[in-house]
Order: sequence, then C-alpha cells, then structure tokens
Amino acid sequence: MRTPKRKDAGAPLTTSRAGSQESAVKVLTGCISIVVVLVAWQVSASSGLVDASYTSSPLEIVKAAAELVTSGELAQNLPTTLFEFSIGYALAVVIGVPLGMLMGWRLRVRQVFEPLLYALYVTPSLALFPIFVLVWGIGTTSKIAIVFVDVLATVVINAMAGVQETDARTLRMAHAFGAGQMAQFWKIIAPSAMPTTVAGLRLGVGRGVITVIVAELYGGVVGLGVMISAYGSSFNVPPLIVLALLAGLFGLIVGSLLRRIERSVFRWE
Amino acid sequence: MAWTSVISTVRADDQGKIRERVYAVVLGGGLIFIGAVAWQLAVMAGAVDEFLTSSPVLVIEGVVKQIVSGELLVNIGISGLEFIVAFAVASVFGISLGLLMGRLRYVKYAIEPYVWLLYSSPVIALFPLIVLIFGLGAPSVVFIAIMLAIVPLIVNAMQGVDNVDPGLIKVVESFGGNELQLLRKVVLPASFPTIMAGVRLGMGRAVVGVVVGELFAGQGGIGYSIDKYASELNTTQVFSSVLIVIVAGLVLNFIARALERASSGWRTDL
Amino acid sequence: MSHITFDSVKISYKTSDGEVEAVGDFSAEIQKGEFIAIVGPSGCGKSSVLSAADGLLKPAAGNVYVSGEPVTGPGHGRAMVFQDASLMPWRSVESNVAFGLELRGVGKAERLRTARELVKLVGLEGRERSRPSQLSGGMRQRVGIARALAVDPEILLMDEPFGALDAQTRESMGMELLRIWENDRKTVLFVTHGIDEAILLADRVLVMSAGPRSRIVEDITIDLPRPRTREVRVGREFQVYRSRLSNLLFGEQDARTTEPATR
Ligand SMILES: Nc1ncnc2c1ncn2[C@@H]1O[C@H](COP(=O)(O)OP(=O)(O)OP(=O)(O)O)[C@@H](O)[C@H]1O
Ligand SMILES: [Mg+2]
Repeated sequence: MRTPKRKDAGAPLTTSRAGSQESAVKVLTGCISIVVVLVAWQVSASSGLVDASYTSSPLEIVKAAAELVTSGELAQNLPTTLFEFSIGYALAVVIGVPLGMLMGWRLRVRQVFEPLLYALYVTPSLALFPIFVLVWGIGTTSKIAIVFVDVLATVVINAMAGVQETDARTLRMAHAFGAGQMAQFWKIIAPSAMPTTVAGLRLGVGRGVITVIVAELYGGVVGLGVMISAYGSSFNVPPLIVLALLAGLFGLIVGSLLRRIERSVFRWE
Repeated sequence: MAWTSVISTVRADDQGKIRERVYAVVLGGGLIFIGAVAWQLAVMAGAVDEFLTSSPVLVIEGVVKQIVSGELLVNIGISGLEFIVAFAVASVFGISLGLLMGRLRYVKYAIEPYVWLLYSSPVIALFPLIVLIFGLGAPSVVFIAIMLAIVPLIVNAMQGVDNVDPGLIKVVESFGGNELQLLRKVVLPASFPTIMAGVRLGMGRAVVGVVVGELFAGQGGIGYSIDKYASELNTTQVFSSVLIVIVAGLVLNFIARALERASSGWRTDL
Repeated sequence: MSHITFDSVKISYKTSDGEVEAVGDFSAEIQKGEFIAIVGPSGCGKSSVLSAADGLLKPAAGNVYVSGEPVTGPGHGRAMVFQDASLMPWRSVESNVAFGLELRGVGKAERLRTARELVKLVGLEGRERSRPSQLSGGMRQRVGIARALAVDPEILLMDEPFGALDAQTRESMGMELLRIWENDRKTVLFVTHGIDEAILLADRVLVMSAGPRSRIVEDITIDLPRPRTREVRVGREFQVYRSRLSNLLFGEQDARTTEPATR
C-alpha cells in the first residue's frame, strides 16, 4: 500500500479517457484547419486576390486529378514509379537488415562498413544520381539504384542501432543459461532489435518515395516524376500539385500505417 | 605493488583503445582503399572504359584542379551561403513555431497535418513553380532548402516542449512566474537537447536541400556543377564534385554533433 | 482572524463523462503559525485542496481566504513543496534554491546569498554546486524545501513532500522540518499518507473522506508537547491518536497491518 502504487492504479483510467477525448479534439481541429485553408485558398484564387495561374485552386486541382485518372495517364505512369520504388526498396531491406544487424553484433564487421555507410548517410544521396545516369542511363535501373542507396543507409543504421540497444543484462542472463552465440542472436538480439529496425523500414519508405520521384524528375522516360517534369516545364500548375500531393499523401499514409502496425506489434516497447 | 598493478592496467587499457582505433581505421579505410585500388586496376587493365567510369587517380586530380582553379572556393562560397541563409531562416521560424505548437495545443493540432505533409512530400517536385516565383538560382535553392530543413526543427522543438516535466511548469506557476519566464527558464532549457537534435537533423536536410535544389534550380554551387558536368558527360568532374559533397556532409555532421554535445553545458546560462 | 480560511471549497474536474466533483465541501479555519496535516484516502482530493490554497486551481464554488483576502492566483505569501521535489536537473543546488527569488526579480548576488543560507539550514552545506542528479532522494527533497523557504513565505504548502522516501529518511526529514519550523513557526499545510508522520508533526490533523465529493470528516487536535522528539511515539497518547486515525482511514480490523512501516 505504498503511495506511488495507489496513484498509478487510478491514473491510466482518467488519462485514457481524457486521451480519447483529446484525440477527438485533435482530429477535429486538424480537419477544421484543413477546411479553412482550402476555402481560403479557393476564395482568394477565384476572387482574383492572388494570381491563380501560380497558386491554382482546390477545385482546379480536383478537376486535374480527375482528368489524370480518367485519361489513363496516371495508370500509365504510376506502375513504373511503384516498380522502381519497390525493387529498390526491397533490395535495400533484404541487404540492409542483415548487414545492419551483423554490424551491430560484430564489431569487426561494423568497423569495415561503417565509414562507407556513414558517408552515404550524411550526404544527399541524390547527388549520386547523375553518376547513376551516366552509368545506367535514364531508364529504370538508375532509379532502382538510387532508391536502393538512399534507403539502404537508413535501414542499415537503424538495424545496427537496434542491435546495439539490446539489453546487456538479458544477454548475460542468456549466456548464464548456456545460450550459444547463435541462440543469443536469434532468441534475444534479433527480437529486441526489431522495433528500431522496423522504424528504420518505415523511415525508408518516406525517403524512398521522395527519392524515386525526384530522380525521375531529373531524368526519366515514364513515371510520376516524368509527368511532373512535363507539366512543370509547361507551367501547368494544377496537375503539378496533384502529383506532388499524391506522392506526399502516399508517403504519409504508408508511413502512418506502418507506425500503427509497429505500435500494435511491438506493444512491449 | 598496488601502484604497479594500477599502472599496468591503465597501460593495458590504453593499448586496448589504441588497438581498437587501429582496427577501425584499417578495417574501415581498408574497404574503401581496396575498392579504390580495384577500380584503378580495372581502368589500368582496360577492363572498363576510363571515359565512362573515370578512375580514383583522375577523381583526385579533378579535385585538385577544382582547388587550383578556384572553382571549389567559388562553389563552396555559393552553396555555403545558401546553406547558411536557409538554415538560419529555418531554425528561427522552425524552432519558434515548434515552441508555440508545444505550448498551445490548438495551434499544434491545426498545423501538424501540414508539417507531416511537408515531411513526406517531394518539395523539389514543385521546383518549376518555385523557380517561377523566386527566379532561377540562389533564392529558389534557399527556399527548397528551408522547406526541407524546417520539418525536424519544428517537430523536435514541439516534442521538446511536450516532454517538459509538468512538475517544473507547476513550480514556475506556483512561484508566480509569467509565460516569458516559463519559456526562458524552464521550457527552453528542458527542451534544449531535443531542439539541438532537431538542429542536427535540420542541418543534414538543409544540405540535401541545397545540393538537390542546385541540381534542379541552381545557377552555381556544388550541386549545380554536378549537374553541369553530368550534362557534359564529364564523369571525372562529376565524381570529384560528389566527393566534395561527401566531405562537406561529413564535416557538417561533425560540427552538428559537436554543437549538440557542447550545448548541454549552455543550459545553465539560459 | 484566522490565517487561512477554506469556505465551502468545491473542486471539480472536467472529464469526458462531464464534471467530476472531486472535493465536495471543504471548510476549515487555520490559525497563523499552525502546523496542519491533511490525511485521507488516495484520490480524495488532498492535492487539489492544496493547489486551491496556492491559487494554482480555482475552486468551482466557495473560496480560499488568506488573511481575509480571497486567493485569485499564486501569491507571494505562499510557497509549495512538491512530492517529487521537481528540481531543474540542469541547475545546481543553489541555483535551484534561488529559483523562486529569481522569478520574483531579486538580484543575483542577493538571491545567491539567501540560497546559500538556506542550503545550510537544510543541512546541505558543501553541496551548493552539485546537480540534483548527484543527490539522494532525501537531499533533493531538502532542496525543494529550501527553495520554498527561500522566498520567505508566510504559508508553506507541502504535498506529500516525503512520500517518495524510505521510512527512516522520512522520519529524520520530518524531525528536521520541525526543527526548521520551530525557528519562525510559519503556517504549514502538510499533506501526507503517513499517520505517524501526521501525528508527529502537526498541531491538527484534518481527515478527509474518500472522493468524489470528499469533505473533512474529522479535525483532530494533537495535544502533544513541543518541541517534539522521536520519543513521543512511544507515549500512550501517541498510540491513542494513532488508533483513532487508523480507524478513521482504514476501519477497525486492519489498522495495524495497513499502517506504513515507519521504523
Ligand atoms: N487534472 C485532472 N483532471 C481530471 N481529474 C483530476 C485531475 N486532477 C485530479 N483529478 C481527480 O480528482 C480527484 C482528486 O485528486 P487529487 O490529486 O487531489 O487527490 P489526492 O488526494 O491528492 O490523491 P493522492 O493521495 O493519490 O495524491 C481524483 O479522483 C483525481 O482522479
Ligand atoms: Mg496528491
């Protein structure tokens, strides 16, 4: 019957109730804010307060979106972008997760790869893209390569950090119970590194999506970025905004979906 | 006896540390060195076309050429200035906005959606529009860099404020402190580490913004030269410029980390 | 005129189920220089009452008066000591103690002088430059007390100040608090879970009923001689007060077993 315990017993109830109310307030305020901005944008554009050829307007954007869908233009370009992203991303995950975990687990492995990866991590990987274009041309391969490079650093560094955060006491305990190196890795290190590793995968999605589009923008044949580039050079603003928003929303939705999955899977965190 | 044993353990410790250093340099540098040598040998053996793939020797020569001709200095001047302006503006606006969002929850709820959208959107996709508004060159590049850098600055300042111990806020209230005192004496120092982490992340993204912004909308600077040399198919100079970007990225990251570490001592004075 | 008057204070909180009336009707008169302990089951609203007295929280109905004036916000005559000390980890001990004075615009030299005096008073001489993280829980609590005393309040509000300490430290901190209090006999409102602690320290113990709509069920005058020492605990009177309070708080049977061990 110590004080702190009794306090804790009552607390979660009130906070979770207040919490659900609070998140309702949050969503509501967010929605109101979005509606206000959209209306203000529309009004200022249609009243001629600002030059709509620069800013476009929500209605025009919706119209442009509908056109992009019905004309089949989106359907023509989207698969290429998704393909480039998926392959590059998958490669980065397949190589990055084991590499990162190995680097976290084995000092010597880490020492071999760290400088290179660190350099990759702190430099804007898109600066490498012109090289990739010189090597592989403006086709799909160079996009896959740049997504791979960009996502790889994030994935590796998070997987490595996850392993390094493993509780040393748990490891000692396992050792005391006679767990060998392999058992320690599979039964303790890998699971406890999971949350951070998966967080890295989530961050990688956001970065990869942006990277593939910017790369296509720089030089490509088909893809969302190529469309953006085309509409941009003819200063056709509404589809430009549609496509940028589309990419942003894709990253946002996939990101928060993954975050939600993370939360429910790794609830012990 | 006790003394000698202490000394010998210290020595063993030092030796261990030195040995680890050596391992780190030899192993990490080794990979890069072997890669470079293999590349060079492949070129020298004629296995790959030097015009297409360049070679480490050529790349280093290229860097030297850029230094001697003064091109490097000019580029660093342009990119550096863009970086400093963008980062300064992003810091001032981002941190203030983040603090405000942390203190006033309605402001936070109203603005948060846009921050996350900005975070996950390819801002550079809007570069034609940005160029139309700001013109080709530095102003557009700075704008792009601000948009990239500002997100972690906002988010971290906000989270820093969110995580301030409510007990400390109560202390200020109880002693009759006002909102300004609360900000200066509790909120800022308490959220300082988080804000500084945001500064480091913001610095990194500002670099990306400057380089990639120049790639698309620049009229000078390192990113611009990468693009220029690439369009001239001058592989060597592309590699040289990328090498310079990598070194700059490492240096800036080093500075940011040092700043972050040193900043924990400043808090007392705030 | 009494120093603090709680006049039918009602405190309610907004929750998603609507307003919850935590404290129903809290009325009490406290004289200048009195040491008052407030006890009651967890969640009955002790902290809320204290916050209302400090002016951190406005009663839904009724009023708190200090020297006849209604409390409208935190005021200079009152200072609070918090349960977890709530020290600023980035400040040294003396700078934490000087914090209240700093907020009130006292010059640096003067506030540091005052702070050092108080650091000495609470027995932390030599630790002026330490950081809170380098102190034990009891030491941290001393700093919290020194910080409150530094502004020289007429009224000291203490919310379970020793709640997080082990039994032994807790008792010696209580005795030390009494020693400091004997100097100038400030009016003290002291919230606690410990029955022994309440009897040992207070002139009067206010016993609150369980919430919601809690109120004072008993107002027990502790008629033990001052200055008090640990020895009062073994006296018969102490045991009488103790069983009376236990009965009020826990009911007859488990009076002995639920009493927090203070030895
Ligand atoms: N901010 C708040 N919002 C909603 N309800 C609250 C809030 N603060 C306190 N309460 C409720 O008011 C009641 C009284 O709380 P208070 O903290 O004053 O109790 P207490 O007697 O100090 O408890 P303890 O002994 O555990 O410290 C409790 O039921 C609590 O749940
Ligand atoms: Mg309480």
